[in-house]
Amino acid sequence: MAKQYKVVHCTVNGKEIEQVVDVRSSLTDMLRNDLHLTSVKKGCEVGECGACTVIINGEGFNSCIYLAVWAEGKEIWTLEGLTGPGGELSDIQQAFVDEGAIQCGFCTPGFIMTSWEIVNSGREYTDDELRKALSGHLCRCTGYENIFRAVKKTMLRHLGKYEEAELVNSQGITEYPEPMPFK
Amino acid sequence: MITCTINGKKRSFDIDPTRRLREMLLMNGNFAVRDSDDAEGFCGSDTVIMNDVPVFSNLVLAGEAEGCEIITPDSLGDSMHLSVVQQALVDAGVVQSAYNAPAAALLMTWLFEKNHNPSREDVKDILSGIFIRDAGYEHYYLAADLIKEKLATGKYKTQIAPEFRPNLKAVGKVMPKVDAPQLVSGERAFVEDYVDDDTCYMVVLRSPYAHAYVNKIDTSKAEALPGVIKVITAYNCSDATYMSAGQGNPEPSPHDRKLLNKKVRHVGDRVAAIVAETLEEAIKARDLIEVEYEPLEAVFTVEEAMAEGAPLVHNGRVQYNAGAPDDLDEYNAKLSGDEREGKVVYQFPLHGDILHNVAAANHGGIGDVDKAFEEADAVVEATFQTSQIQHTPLETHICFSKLENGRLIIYASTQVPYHVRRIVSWVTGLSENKIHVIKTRVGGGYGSKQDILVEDLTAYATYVTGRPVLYHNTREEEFIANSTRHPMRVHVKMGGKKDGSITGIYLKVDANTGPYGNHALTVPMNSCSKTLPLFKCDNMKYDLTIYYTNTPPAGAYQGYGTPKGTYGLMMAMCELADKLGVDYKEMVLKNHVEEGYMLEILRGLGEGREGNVVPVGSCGLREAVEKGCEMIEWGKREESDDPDWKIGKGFAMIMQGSGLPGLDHANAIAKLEMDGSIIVLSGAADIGTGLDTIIAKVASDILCVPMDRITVLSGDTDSGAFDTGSYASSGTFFSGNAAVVASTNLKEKILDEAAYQLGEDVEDIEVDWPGVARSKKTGKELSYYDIIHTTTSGTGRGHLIAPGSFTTAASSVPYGAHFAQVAVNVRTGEVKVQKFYAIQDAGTPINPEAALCQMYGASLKSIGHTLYEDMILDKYGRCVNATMTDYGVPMISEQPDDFKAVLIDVDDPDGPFGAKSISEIACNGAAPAIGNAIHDACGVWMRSWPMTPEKILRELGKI
Amino acid sequence: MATKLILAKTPAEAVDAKTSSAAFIAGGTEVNRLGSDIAGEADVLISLKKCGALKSIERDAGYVTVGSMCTFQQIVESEWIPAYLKEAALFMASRTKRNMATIAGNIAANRSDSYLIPALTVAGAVIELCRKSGETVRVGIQEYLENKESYGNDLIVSVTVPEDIRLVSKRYANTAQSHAVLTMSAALTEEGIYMAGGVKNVGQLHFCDLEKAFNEDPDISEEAIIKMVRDCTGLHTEDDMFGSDAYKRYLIAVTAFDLHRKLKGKEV
Repeated sequence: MAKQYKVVHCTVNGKEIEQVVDVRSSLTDMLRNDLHLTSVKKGCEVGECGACTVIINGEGFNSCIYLAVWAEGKEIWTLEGLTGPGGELSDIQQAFVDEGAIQCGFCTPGFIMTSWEIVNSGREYTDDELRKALSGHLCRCTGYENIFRAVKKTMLRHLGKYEEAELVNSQGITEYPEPMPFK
Repeated sequence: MITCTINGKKRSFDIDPTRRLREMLLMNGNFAVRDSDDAEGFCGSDTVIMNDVPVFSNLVLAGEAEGCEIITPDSLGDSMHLSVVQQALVDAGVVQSAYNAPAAALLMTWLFEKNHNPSREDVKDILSGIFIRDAGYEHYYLAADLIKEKLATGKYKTQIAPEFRPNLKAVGKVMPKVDAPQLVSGERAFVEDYVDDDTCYMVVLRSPYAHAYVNKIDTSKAEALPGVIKVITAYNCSDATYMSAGQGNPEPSPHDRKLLNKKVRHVGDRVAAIVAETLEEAIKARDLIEVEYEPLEAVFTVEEAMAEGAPLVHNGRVQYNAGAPDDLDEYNAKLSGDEREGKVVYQFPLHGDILHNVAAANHGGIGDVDKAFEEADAVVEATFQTSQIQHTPLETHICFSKLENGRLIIYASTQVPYHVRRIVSWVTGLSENKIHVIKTRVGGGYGSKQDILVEDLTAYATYVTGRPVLYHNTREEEFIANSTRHPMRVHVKMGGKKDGSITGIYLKVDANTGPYGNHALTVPMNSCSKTLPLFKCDNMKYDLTIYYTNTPPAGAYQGYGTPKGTYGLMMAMCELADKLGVDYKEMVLKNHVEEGYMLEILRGLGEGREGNVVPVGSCGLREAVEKGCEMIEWGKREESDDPDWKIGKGFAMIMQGSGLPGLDHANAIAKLEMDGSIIVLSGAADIGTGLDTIIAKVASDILCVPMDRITVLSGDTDSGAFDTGSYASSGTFFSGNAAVVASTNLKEKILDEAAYQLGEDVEDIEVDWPGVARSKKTGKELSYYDIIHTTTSGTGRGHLIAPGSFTTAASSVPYGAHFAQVAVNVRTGEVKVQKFYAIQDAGTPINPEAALCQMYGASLKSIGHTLYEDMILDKYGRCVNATMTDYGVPMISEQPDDFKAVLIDVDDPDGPFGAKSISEIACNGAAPAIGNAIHDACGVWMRSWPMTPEKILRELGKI
Repeated sequence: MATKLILAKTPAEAVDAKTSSAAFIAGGTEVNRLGSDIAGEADVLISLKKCGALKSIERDAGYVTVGSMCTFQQIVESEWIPAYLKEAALFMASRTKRNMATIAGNIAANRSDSYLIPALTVAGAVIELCRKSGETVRVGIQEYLENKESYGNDLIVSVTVPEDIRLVSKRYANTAQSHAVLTMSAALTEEGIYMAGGVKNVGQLHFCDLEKAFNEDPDISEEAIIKMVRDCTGLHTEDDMFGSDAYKRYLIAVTAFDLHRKLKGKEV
């Protein structure tokens, strides 16, 4: 059967692009193979592991089960778009580094994209909500605790709760100090 | 959509049909279809077979391939399954730096498909469109014979090369170069093959002026273009002052440049670097940069540079890191001190005087030459001028750099990985652990890749942008913005007695180092230190002065100054013999040094320091002269049928070094792997010469392990250990000896461990083929597998790893003599080199077939230097012939009809298994051999390069 | 910068597409070459590679007609092509390039270092052109080259040369692959000697004075020829990277003398 091609116009990491794609190809394929954005990982290719997560019009999607042609007119962000002009890490990326949330690193880009959506949402997720929000990502190395802590701390900082962020303990639980007795 | 068949598979491409076919083939992954002349239709790196006809794919439009059948070199066979033709090229030893080896294999395959029994003329014809700079063409004829024999009888009959040291299994034997299968089959090998898809391109804006201040650069229009990442200029980049020579630290060359300077000093000097997402965008942006130049008067020759009141190439400030003169402040007060000039920093005094455009100088000698000339029966005095010539490696300078986890990763085509790392560290400020230099295979170096000409800027661009960056010189940039051979004016005065003995030699060398002082002192120094020690003469004097000028830069070039000194001295000696009425051969035999002769002359000829005075070591010089004279029938007059053509013969003695004793340093680490095989990690930089093979061979013979169970990993700064690099003919001697030490150390560890495991004394254990340790007492045997299996077990004593380092005060000198027979047309000035014999003492030739090919390659190259090659500058300092066609490199048509390379068997006491250097020396003999032969033919002395028909006609008084 | 490529199947199709902003492309060794301004100036390139009709070699009554798209290598290999033309084709030292470069391409490029033009000129080659109107015209090579502008939109279909003519050539270049400083040919017919040559950076020249000198005095001395060329005011050679004015003049003279000497002694 002859291949069918279509031109897709969209914005990727702030840059307008025009790309000829096979109508059957996934957004993952377009981002990885045509645009060389290799942070978008192929883990399961059935939308289960979250390694391919990208932000489309402000919302996280598994790009492996999202057709490239659906991206027409959309605004897409991948991990490459988070770093500064000289390659500086964004705060959520830095938090993953600082909290030891990266081991083999394969799941990291997907996790960070979802986390990015969370920390920029402007709302404070409860611990349960946070765990649920991150539940679409598979990680075999870290046991999730350090990832959870990285996201939670960054979320709190985004909300201006710097002191509270420092109170998150190794299990991810906010340890409020005993109230100081009034003098 | 263009549809065609590539290597038997139907393919369709969505590509602009006016692009070149080669671009389409690259899209298809056929990266071994290369480009080395920017689509000039000259070098043949882009050769493919199209509809059964070999063509240059750069000269075919993509659209013209519609419906065509195309065969590319990578289709012939992979490195584990070589075709008969590929295997024959490997076996014949022609696969050296090998940038064009896949294309040559394709052409030879096509030839043999048409004709199973091609003649020498057929081979010459099919290879006429391929430029081979490394190995010459001679062994391609041998390869053709091997293919014929293999096709006819299933095996080779012809001896590929003589073999040496029958007691050894690998050293001195004809064996495939270890990297040859990868290279001939067109697998990933060169920097360009490792470039990531998302890589940005860098191009450089170059100065149209030979000498000017760069007062202002407006990059705003360029930076506004989409796709442009960054424009780097002298006004926004690193301030580090360094130099590009790629020599040991501290370098005997002045630090006199920055990444980008506020003063440009030659046409082609760097003005700005543009990084963009595509090459087209980078070039477009380059055209939009507005530069305000303040042009200055320029100097182009040593005569202009030394003239009173000459414009000063460097007029800033002088600084010394050691040994500053007391009056430095007063000296600096006389210089302009203009901030735009930058500064000249000497690591230690090189006797420079930038107020007079002198970059460096050296004077010295032994005895009393004036008295010697008075006592002589005849004295000759002549001045010889050499031209500015370029190395023309097929792979132009290239660098790919990227960031990985905060480290700079640099893929470099370099002779000096560790010096690259140091210079990049200097310009970026990163510590060396943050920099990883990976030397890939190198598509031709010849000295030009000792200079760090592109890695500094490319790595810096990645450092400041965070992006992967590729930089690749155009061929024109290779001429104008690279390194070249120093043009030199060599003045020789030589006196002799009627008995043929030389009484005194005076050598005055005025060298042109161009705008920067890389190799300023040491190249001209070699014109004395690698020539005067050929003579048993008590009175010798030399004066060297090296001038800054505004020509394209000079630098290291195979031979490194020696060809020019040799040219002047051997021509002068021939003239002196003539004047004295003595046969030149007799004069040579009377005056050349022999083993044990103490070389007092070397005292003043160190690399900016006191030199080592040593006696002559192993020396096959006399044998080389005798052998060559016999081969060429010295003394027998040849007559041509055509009275216009006169035939003459000439020869020259030659020498070089084997690295720099007291300065060079090499390391290797030998590891016994888990199945008893061996990996050697070497600091060496194999640039196609077969150095990795030498390392594997010495390890094989020391450890008694077959070659196919040894892998050499080299040129990688992360995995290897320090090595000063592949220059000064040091590879075999230094890196080879380091491998000897490491292998010997590993052998001792194996013996020790075997004794422990067997419960015996180590004195009773020996190693034997194919990798076993055996007790001489009990006959018990442990294979290397047994040994390493135990040492790496849960109760073992550790992985067997042995480092080895090599330094020495010994100086093993290769010697030789090159012979030429030429025919000169006395009416048209045309010259034909009919015979060329290269006879050399390289100690033990570890890779004999590769050694021969290097002698052929270097000889042909130096025939080119002598007769054809010349960079011509116009009055503005612009090179007017910066293309392969106009520059004039020799190809198969220029190869002498009768071309022979002969190895003299000498066993050197200091070299690895008796080996000395081989290749560099072979650049030294052609000019005087041909010059003397021209004189023998028609009576004129040719005193400048290249010896063109026009110059010959002028000497003959015809014009 | 060309943006369109037309693969012409017939000469008529090629000529139809030809406009002032279009360029024919034959073997590609000049048009596609580094530094070529042709590909840079034209908007449309008309490739002739698929024009099978232009690749024939025919022989008739003492003349050989070579199709315009015949490559140098086909000329070298064809049994019908006279030796003098093979010799000129072999001046192109690179086999791979000979596989691509065509006879008409070399004529149309009209370079001062042309491989073939001197030999074709003294051989009195006739060029057949296909015009837009559909008519074909035949012109002498000299007429074609001298009035090239007026044939700008015409396509060379073939080149006809005589089989039997006394013709000798000589080429001088730095290396075999370098551009020639001088390529010179001479032919001897019943009317006398013809001499033509390309002088690098000067152009294709017809050496009338030399012809006259040899025709008038077949035993003229070499010195006289050298002096004549040295003093010739109509020759505009200059010092350049290919050699000095004096060298080029000397070389023309010596070569003219040699070619004449050879022709006198040459059997057809």
